[in-house]
Amino acid sequence: MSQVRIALRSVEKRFESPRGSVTALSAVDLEIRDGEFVCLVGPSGCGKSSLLDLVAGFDEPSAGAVEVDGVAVAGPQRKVVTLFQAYGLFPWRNVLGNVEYGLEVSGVPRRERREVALQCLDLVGLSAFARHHPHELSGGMQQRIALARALAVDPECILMDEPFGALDAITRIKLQEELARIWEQRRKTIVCVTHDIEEAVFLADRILVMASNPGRVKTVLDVRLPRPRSRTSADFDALRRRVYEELELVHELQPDYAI
Amino acid sequence: MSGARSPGAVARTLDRWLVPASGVGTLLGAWQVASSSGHWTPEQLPGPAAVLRAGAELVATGTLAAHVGASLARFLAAYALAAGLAVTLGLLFGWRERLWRAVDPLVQLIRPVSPIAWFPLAVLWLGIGDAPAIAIIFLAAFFPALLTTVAAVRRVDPLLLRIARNFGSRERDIVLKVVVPAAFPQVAVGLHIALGAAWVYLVAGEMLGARSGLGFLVMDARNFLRTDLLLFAVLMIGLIGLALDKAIAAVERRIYLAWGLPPAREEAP
Repeated sequence: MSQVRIALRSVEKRFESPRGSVTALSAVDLEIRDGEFVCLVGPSGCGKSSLLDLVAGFDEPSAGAVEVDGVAVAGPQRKVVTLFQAYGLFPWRNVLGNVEYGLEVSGVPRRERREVALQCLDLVGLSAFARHHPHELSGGMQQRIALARALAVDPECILMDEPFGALDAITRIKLQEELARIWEQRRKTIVCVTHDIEEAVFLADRILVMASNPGRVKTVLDVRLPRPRSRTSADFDALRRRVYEELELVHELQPDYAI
Repeated sequence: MSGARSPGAVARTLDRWLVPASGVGTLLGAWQVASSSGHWTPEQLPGPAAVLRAGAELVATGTLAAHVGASLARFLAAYALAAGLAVTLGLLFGWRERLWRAVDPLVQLIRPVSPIAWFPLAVLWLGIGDAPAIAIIFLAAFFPALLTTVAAVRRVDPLLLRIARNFGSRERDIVLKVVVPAAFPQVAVGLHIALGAAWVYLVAGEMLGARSGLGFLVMDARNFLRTDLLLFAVLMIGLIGLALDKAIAAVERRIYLAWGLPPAREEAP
């Protein structure tokens, strides 16, 4: 199980513009093992979304190499599926049609793809909504359907770009718990960009704390908390505190010391 | 519950029908007063009753059905041709950015030319009868449908295209399974606008030597100074245009509902 799934070697990403060149990522070296859950946290502009785009194949590095299963990423591929903050469900397809999409375009026969889609819907707890259209569902449900759509093609890796960023706090917590459960069942390699520090501590095996100017990985924190994790345990709190420190946000938290 | 209506509901229903009816009623009243004022002869301005009598005459002889049928046949042929071609080409031009850049100046050059300006050429090239009429209606419908389709394709949410590519869709699947349905609500708006434009030019097209149709009826009534028939033909053109507009608006609403979009504005321009 310790096989390397995703590898970034001396990766650099620059964006050229008329006003000059901006370095979004500089000297990123990273290996993510099979079945690992990695969260990227960091201030805006630290290149965390750029990093995700490189792994997804939506963008190319300016220097260095991005590999999945030892092969250089040459473009988007079915074995690395991305979840977006805006869900991106197809509004004209019902829930089942959305979940079936990936299988449909890869030529899986109707009966088989229906079966797989229903299993995945069941996994996210939304079998009862198979015939609904996305607009009839809440944001949280839509993101669960997007997750089911990703799982349906049985990818090696799932990349998430602030997947719960548009949801309210309680829905977000529920979805984090659901994601943790599904990850334990399916053991996909997950790389999740988030700005929610608690989310990272709750979900990740490893937290990559990133810094900006230029975007880089500043610290890697191993999360050795037992699962399922309790958000109220002292260890959880200590680790959360540690991430805040790494992000140099602790000075804003003075009231925490008050009684 | 369903049988007994509250006074409020009755008032709302009255309001809903009476207000629009008041406009029509005022016009009819003014028409009646003007026609019986003696200022114009009945040949210049027949009253509403005379126009209705003329209409009854047309209905009784079966002439009206024949003319309406001929007009609708031409209209539907031209509109279907224009819509089919415009949507197909619009998809291609919208999807292939360079191709559109090549075609765009040409379209911008031809589009502002009124279909009426093509009259002489339509007759020279296509003779008289059905063909020039269909060509004029086609021109009126083609450009609005083409331009809205191109715009709709170019405006498809890039996120959806990203996701389609992520799942390994081939280009054919991206176009047919993502671009077409994603652009469709906007395309429907374009087809609605095109429908209105095409109907407006139906009458003009049918003045190019057609021997049937509502446009011909207008010309024929004019030649025989049958103003009552002429006004009735005008009324029919308006009513059928309204019915076509309502029909396509209903289709449009269903598309919007299925797509989960807010209902489109009530009227297309």
